[in-house]
Parts: sequence; C-alpha cells; structure tokens
Amino acid sequence: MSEINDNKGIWMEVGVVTCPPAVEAVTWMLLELGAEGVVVDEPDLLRKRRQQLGPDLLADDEFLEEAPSPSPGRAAAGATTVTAGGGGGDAEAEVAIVRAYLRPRQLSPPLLQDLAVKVKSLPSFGLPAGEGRVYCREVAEEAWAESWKKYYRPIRAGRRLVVVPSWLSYTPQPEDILLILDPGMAFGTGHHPTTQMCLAELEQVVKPGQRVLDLGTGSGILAIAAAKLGAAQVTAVDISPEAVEVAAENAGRNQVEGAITFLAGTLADISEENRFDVIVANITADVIIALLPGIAARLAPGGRFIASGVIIGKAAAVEQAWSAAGLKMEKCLETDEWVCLVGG
Amino acid sequence: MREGGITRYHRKRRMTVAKKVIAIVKLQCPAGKATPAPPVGPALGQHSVNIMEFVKAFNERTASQAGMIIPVEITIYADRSFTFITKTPPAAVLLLKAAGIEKGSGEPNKQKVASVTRQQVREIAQLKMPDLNAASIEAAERMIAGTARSIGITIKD
Repeated sequence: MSEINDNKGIWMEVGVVTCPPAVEAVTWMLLELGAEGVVVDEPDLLRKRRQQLGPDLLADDEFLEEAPSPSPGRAAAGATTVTAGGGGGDAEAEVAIVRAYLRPRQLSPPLLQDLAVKVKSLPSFGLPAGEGRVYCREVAEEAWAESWKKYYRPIRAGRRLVVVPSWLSYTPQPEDILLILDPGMAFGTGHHPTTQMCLAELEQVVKPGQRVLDLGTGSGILAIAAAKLGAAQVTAVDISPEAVEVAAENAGRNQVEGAITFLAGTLADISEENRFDVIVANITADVIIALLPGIAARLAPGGRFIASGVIIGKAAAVEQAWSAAGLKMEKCLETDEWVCLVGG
Repeated sequence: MREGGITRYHRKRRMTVAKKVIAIVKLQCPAGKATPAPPVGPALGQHSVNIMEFVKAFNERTASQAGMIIPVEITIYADRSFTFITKTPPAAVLLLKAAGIEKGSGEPNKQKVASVTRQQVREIAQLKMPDLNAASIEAAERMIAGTARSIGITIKD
C-alpha cells in the first residue's frame, strides 16, 4: 500500500468493488472500521432510472462521461488494490462500489487485509461478492472543497442586492448593491432559498443608522447586506470560529468591516442590555425555538425579527414559540420546502 | 399575514421544469450530524454540488433521528442543484435491533453472537424492499439473511 501519513487534509478512501446484494453487508464492514458514513455507487442506477423516468429527465451521455468515475481504475497514483476474488454470478453481475473515508492513522495494512478476507467470505454467508476487490487510495481535501465553485454564479436577491462570487467580475445596474462573497466552507452563498428570503426581507426592513444582530452568520452574507443597506452597527455571531473568520474576510472584501462586530459564540454572549432594531437568524427551527425568548429580550421597541432555515413542517412549532416569547408574527414567506418568518 | 388566527403562507414556488440529472449519489450518514467532511464532501464535491447546502438540509430533516445512520439518495441536476430522499435504516442496524444486541461479531464465521427468526428476516426485507436493489422479495430476504450471517447472527427456521 502507499505510504501512510497523517497529514491534515489527507484522507484514505477505502473502496470495495462488489455487487448490489452485498452492499448492506459491506457497508457495515466499513462502518465497523470507524468510518462516519459511506458512499454507495451503483453505476446501473442511472440506467434504471432512465428506463423508469424517460431520457428527458436524465443526463446527456456526454455529461455522464464528463462526470468523474468512482472507479478505482481512475484512482490517483499510489492506489493500492487487495483482490479478494470469489463471488460473482447472474443478476449480481451489476457493480456496486462502497466507499468509506478514514484518516491515515485509522488504517493499517492488517486492517485492509482483514477487510479483504471478510469480503472474500461473503459467499459463505450466502451473499455474492461480485468482483470482491478492496482498494485504498489517498484523497486530498481541497479536491472536493473547491470543485463546486465553477458553478457558482452572481445571483440577485430582493430588488437591489446581488451576491457576486469573489472570483468573478460583475457589471452592476445603477441601483445594485453588490455583496462580494467567498463562502469557503461556511454556509451562505446566496443561492439557498433561506438566504434569499432573508436578504429580500433585510432589504425591506433595514433602515440607515439601525442596529442589527445576525445570529448564525456563516459566511457573513446577511450581516454584510445589513451594513451595505445602511445599518450603523451590525453584530454578527456564529458558534463556529472558522465561520467567523470567513465572515470577517468577506466583510473586508465589501469594505464594511468597520460597521460589523464579529463574535464567535452564542446569543448568551450578548448582554440583554443591548437592543437591536433588526435581528436575523438563518439557522434551524430547533435552534430558533430555543433562542426566541432571548431574541425577544434583545429586540428594541418596534424592532423586527427575521427567522429562516426553517423547513415547512416545523413552521407551526416556530410560530408557537414566537407567540410564547411575546412577539407577533406578521408574515411567513415560503420557497420550496423552506419558510422565512417575519414579525416583531 | 394572520387572518382569523391562521397564518397565510405566501407561496413563491420555483418554476418546475424537467431538469437533466447528471448523477444519483447514495450515502449513509449520521442523522442530524452530517458535516462537509467525508463521506459527504468527496461524494458531492466530485459532482460540484455545494456541500454546505446539502449538509444543512440533511441535518434539519434528520435531526429527530439523531444517533442513527440514515441512508440518503441524492439526485444531482446539470445546474448542480439537487434533491434528496432519506431511506430506511441500514439492514445491519435493523438486524442488531431485532436480535437485541448492540454489536455484531468480529469473526462471523467462527463466532455467532445472536439469532433472529425467518419471520424477522422477512419483516426487515419487507420494510427495506423499496430501498433495496432487489428484483423480488425473495431476493431481498436472501440479502437480509446474508447480511445477518455476515455480522454473526444466525437465522432460525
């Protein structure tokens, strides 16, 4: 096997090339190695869906050819293969590849050998093993962390706000307010329905000179929008220090760092003596429900609260907590399966 | 707006058009606790999907099942948008539960740790049938029985 190291950002992909009937058993073998989860590739699945749904719903063949193959045949140099052999047969001629990702320190040659033996023994349990091959290769983290960026385009949210990826240029219309953003691994690209609804509401609600609190700031997109809409003081909070770092960098890109105070922490870290004209929280229903009493306590008289990140099935629970906190909900916007609640 | 105590939802549905699918990705991740780390990162990153948007949606939808590994099937379209459906728990998890044990055997050929009945195998096969790549219920039962034996659980007739 290739040289094992424990560099940060390096993962070991352990794959088992097998057949669909063995997927459940092989998945468990990989989870038992300590993997957080698995990826199951069944190349025939697309063909079957094409038969079920018709070709219009499915990709052009050239698209499929462009898509990276999970096949270890295209694995990076240094890939190691341990052939288990055995198995195979009729309907089990289909291929399924089950992949797990482990840190180099979690793996050793004996563990891989043991896995190969277990895969080889599948027929003795009454399961076909298919090709029954176990492979292992190094994968660098940035290979996937950056790849989505090539499909990220400028997007308009509300009437004047336009979210522009920092690596693209964009020619604004006269009244446009640009939000220049590199979300890194933080949430908030402007493409998610919840972010779009929050941006559109901020555009209507925020007035020059106001104090704004952004809970769960992620990439900082909502805090930056509030500052660019004229808010005098914006406080942006996130439980993740990495997100706060990304958000601060994005504020710098938009030259509003002077108007925003970033804080790695929670609502509890903000004194109840502080009052805000607008509070926005694009998190999740459960977190918003828990935070609502504290939010109500920090809302200035006449202040507005904008909440999103809530799936439609939980809107009623949030609405109930909203009333219990002594606030009045005024509207509930909905896009796809998501809602954005607004009131004060 | 509230009218007579009922919130009126302002619908802003996205226009539905037939979009081309470029990939179907199957994952198994911890409910409510998926992260951009593997397996989510490489599985979606290779198709240029925004990883954090999936993580947020998956965790929100599975928060109530915390502690379980949940299979999920993600359909990825040419514009890199996606939809996903969550599935029944893994067969091994259902088998361990049916056998009343927490862990399978490390040496299933030599060491048997529990047993389940043929009826229990059938029930699990029926539950998982919609999610399995199986041609018939009998094929699904063989898969479940084989998975049971592979973790040291024997089948009683």
